[in-house]
Amino acid sequence: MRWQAREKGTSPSSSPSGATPPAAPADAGLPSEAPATELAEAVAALRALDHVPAAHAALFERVCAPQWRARQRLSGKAFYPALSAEAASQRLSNGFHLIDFARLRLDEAELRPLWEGLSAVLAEFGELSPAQAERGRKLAAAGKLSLTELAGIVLEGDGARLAALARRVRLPQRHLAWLATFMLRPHLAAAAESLAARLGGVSWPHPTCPACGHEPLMALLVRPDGRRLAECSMCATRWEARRGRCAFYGNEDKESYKFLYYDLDSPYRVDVCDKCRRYLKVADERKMAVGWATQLAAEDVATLYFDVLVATRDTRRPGGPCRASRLPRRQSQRGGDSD
Amino acid sequence: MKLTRRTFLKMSGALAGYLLTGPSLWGGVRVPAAYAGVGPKVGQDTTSVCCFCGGGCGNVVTASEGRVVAVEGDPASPINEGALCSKGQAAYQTANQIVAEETLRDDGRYALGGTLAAWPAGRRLARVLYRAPGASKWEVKSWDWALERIAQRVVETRQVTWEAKAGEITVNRTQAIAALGGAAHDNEECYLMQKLWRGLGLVYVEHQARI
Repeated sequence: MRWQAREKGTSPSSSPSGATPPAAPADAGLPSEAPATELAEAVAALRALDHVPAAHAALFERVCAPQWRARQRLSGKAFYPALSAEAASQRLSNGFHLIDFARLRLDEAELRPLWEGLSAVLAEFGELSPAQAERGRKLAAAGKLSLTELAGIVLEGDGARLAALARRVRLPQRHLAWLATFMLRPHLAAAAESLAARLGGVSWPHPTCPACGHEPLMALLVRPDGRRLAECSMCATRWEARRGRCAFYGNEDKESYKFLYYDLDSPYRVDVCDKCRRYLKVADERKMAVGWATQLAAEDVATLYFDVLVATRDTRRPGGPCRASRLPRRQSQRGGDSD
Repeated sequence: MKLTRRTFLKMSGALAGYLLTGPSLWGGVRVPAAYAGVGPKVGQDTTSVCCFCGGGCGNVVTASEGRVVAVEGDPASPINEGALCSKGQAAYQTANQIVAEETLRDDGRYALGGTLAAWPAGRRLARVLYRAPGASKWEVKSWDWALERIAQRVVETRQVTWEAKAGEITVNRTQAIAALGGAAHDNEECYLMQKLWRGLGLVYVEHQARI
């Protein structure tokens, strides 16, 4: 996305039309804070791209703004207990991700603004009826729908409990999972940030995030050495996913593991594995303008044409709501800490 | 890019939520204009080891449509951590300097057919060329002729420049011939070459790895 803006002759901080970044969306119940600079820059960059529909850029902004603000509020808050270096090393060496969901202290009061704001987005784009959005808001406000319980169900990937909850509150199951995922993302990101020191220098050969166990959203080839770093779809933690092999199950067979691209000079491509039917879009930071922090969430929207391309190959997009948080070889990680 | 409703729904069902199935967003995904009408290409990244010295630096070779399109250091290799020396970087040229045709022109220049527009044709020699003393033209010679000629010159040079003694010390050497080993030689080859050179009385024996 940055490269394309540069190709169009625009500077990193401006759109071709010279328009100013969009104003903060009026999310009900949220503090009236200006969107983060990074978000405004990402939205402006998306809008400058001819191939990104305006509705996609608008949706990106509407979905990300509440999460961005929540992330800023949660930064520095201790809602995940400290983890000793020894305990962290023990978990990682045994293949467990650091965050034990049973110990995640979610705050209903912090979840509610996200719930309301994101429900409004779904209603705005026609995914929920206004009546459904209003019912969800009232249920949460009255305490008849526990958002922490919903978040826990989604973290555990318990489809049966989610279905039962959806029937009880009379809201679509898919949207409950969607809403829970986006409510959780700022919390998991903040928890992962508090544990960042425990991840430094760790060798992690698994296909899911070492912090929270979720799948990557995209990957980045970083300067200067071109290491491929996968970025978590939930907490945005980055870990090294060795090049030349499938990031999910290590397939190195060149007949079944390859990448698709349109132009070698473009920073974007998609790595596809025909054995596990997974794919991972990759952005090459070395081919982008220097000095910009790469926002992979926005790059994901800017490269949806790759998702469309590989959808015809019967592949499964990584990440997403209600994915199991367990590593392929491990069972439940409840009660694993001993610090 | 034509997007059917079925494909869109299948995809959007798995998305992390950025796209919804509202009618206003159907069919909205487009390929950048520069790629419209251009089909995607397929490539592979392969981790390998540099073909030059014995350091064993790891590299990542990118290939597409039957040719090497990029060579870079493997960041996961503990030896080089993504770096490559100038020779390692030049592996790209090694892979791509394939001579399609060879023609010795009347002006004595050796014209080679290039296979890649990116590289000048004729930069890699694939046949023996000989320019006689005082001549201005190159001649194509066979390997048999060339090896015979090299052996003859080694013997002649050795005989002319042979030193049995340096003062009172027996040296049995020739200082007129030097030998240089290369990184592509393995240990066994280097052993045999050293035996040959020392046996001929060479003292200027070097190897690229020492330089």
